[in-house]
Amino acid sequence: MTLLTTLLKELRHHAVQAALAVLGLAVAVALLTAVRMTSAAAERETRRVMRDLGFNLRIVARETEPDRFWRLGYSEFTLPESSVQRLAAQHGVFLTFNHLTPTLERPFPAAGGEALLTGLGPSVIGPGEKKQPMGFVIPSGQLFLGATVAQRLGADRGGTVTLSNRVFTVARVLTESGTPDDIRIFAALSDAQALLGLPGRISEIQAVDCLCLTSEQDVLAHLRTALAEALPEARVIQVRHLADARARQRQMAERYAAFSVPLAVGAAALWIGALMMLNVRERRAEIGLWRALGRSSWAIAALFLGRAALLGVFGALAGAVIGTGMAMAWGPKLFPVTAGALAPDPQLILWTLLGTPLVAAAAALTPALLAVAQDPAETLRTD
Amino acid sequence: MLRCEQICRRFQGPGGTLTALDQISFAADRGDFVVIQGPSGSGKTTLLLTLGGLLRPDHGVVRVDGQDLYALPQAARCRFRAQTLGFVFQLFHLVPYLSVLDNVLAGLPGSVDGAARRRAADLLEELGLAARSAHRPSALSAGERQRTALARALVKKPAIILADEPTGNLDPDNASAVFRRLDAFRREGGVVVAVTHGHDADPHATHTLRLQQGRLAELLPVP
Repeated sequence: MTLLTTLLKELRHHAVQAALAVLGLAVAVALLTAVRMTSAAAERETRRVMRDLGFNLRIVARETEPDRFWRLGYSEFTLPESSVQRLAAQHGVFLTFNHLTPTLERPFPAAGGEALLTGLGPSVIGPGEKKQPMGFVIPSGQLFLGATVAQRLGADRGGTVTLSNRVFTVARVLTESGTPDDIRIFAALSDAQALLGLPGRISEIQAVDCLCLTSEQDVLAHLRTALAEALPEARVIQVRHLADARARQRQMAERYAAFSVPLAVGAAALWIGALMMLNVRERRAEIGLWRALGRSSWAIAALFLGRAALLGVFGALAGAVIGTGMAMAWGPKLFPVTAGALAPDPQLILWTLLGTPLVAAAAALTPALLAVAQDPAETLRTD
Repeated sequence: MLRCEQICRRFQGPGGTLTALDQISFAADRGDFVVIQGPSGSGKTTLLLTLGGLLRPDHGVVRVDGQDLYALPQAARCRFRAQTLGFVFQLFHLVPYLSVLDNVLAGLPGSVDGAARRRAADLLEELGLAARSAHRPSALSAGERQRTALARALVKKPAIILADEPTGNLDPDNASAVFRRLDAFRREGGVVVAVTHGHDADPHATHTLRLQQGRLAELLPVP
């Protein structure tokens, strides 16, 4: 009779105790699986929400006067468009900045009033990253119009608008936002440069900071040091409330994961440890008998460590199914924006199946050692 | 074959030190059936467990074929016990989740081959348990449980069987059957050491040890 057969027979004999152990492990694994899956979904959702909040860094020419910059909303000075590539080529820049988006912004006459013409170039992201672009991606010959300017031009989606004798298709009319976006005309960077007579020039590089530090952590000093090395002719302005919101959200998600995972693992380990202790107490006579039959300490420890590991396998299987099911059932309601990205995580399931038996066996170590150390004479003596 | 010399064993209890065994010496050779008698608390089971390598004496030596049992490291003592000794207990101590056949096979050291299975089946047949081999211990009567425990002790063909009140929970018929089988084992060249406070074993005994408060009160070779 193999160890596995013996363990299975023992589990069947102590069915209630085994079921309680599997239940405890399954609940912990299910929570862990659901929390990990929904945490990943929450991170995706947060990233999307944060992306929609927009860029939080503006890199402008060093000569830019802050008072005029804030009054006008853009820098009157320009940088060469190649600054983006120079910045991107700097070693380690993507540890600090990401989504580097060359931007040219200037006032532009539109239907008897004044709009802001904003040209957006393609974003540059870190090498090997698969991030979605943060800003608008506008093909040449197309425009995205702010609500106010669209109304003034009498333009609708799919219609055409003529700017400086050039005809553009209105690809999108933005919802009224209550921000300067309402008077913006978004165009491809090359089109804006042509319309403004500034070929190869940009007024700023919009970016997102990757440090995810809050304002108390002096993020600006880090950013300025990084930029001074990469692009000394530029300066960085941080839109602090956006950066703080992003950093706090990410830190909160990390703290939550750091708290929930050890909690679930610890609770499961305590539960299985307590049940294994009970099992050892119940089987004192049996342990004495195995000793009398000449079983080694290792063989006796294997009865309990193997039992815990086997319970871990059953608990992990049940928990992975339940947890994945829970996340798939409730995740889309919790995270409607990124619901489509929710899917069973084979890597998480694999780690769960490998890790749970190990955690269970580790939790059973003390009971197993107690079983090994038990004096057989105490349980076998009837005199 | 089995020799113990000046065995002493004391236990510390709330009431002070209790001397369970005091200077016990005796020897048994192949073909001997040693019955240890005495009232409750006289140290009979303590002596049996000490002979079985399960309870280290405070003083004295237990030798089997010249080997000092307690001079062996624990792992070697386990192997020795697995290969040489068979135990039968008053409370049977069957593994509750194993079938009768598996309980008998549990007495074997190492892996179980076809020959071992056949021997186990033959023993169950001989002890009238063939029809019960797939049953769990909870489905057996006291007599059947003890015969299962006896088969477990016999299956590995040990040199010595140590039996602690083996008939303490049995009716006279079952008690007689158990002692008859132990006697057959002795006649085949084995050594039996049986603890009992009754006289059921007397017809089979070659030696009788009488213990009184941990001391050897009497050592009687039976004619």
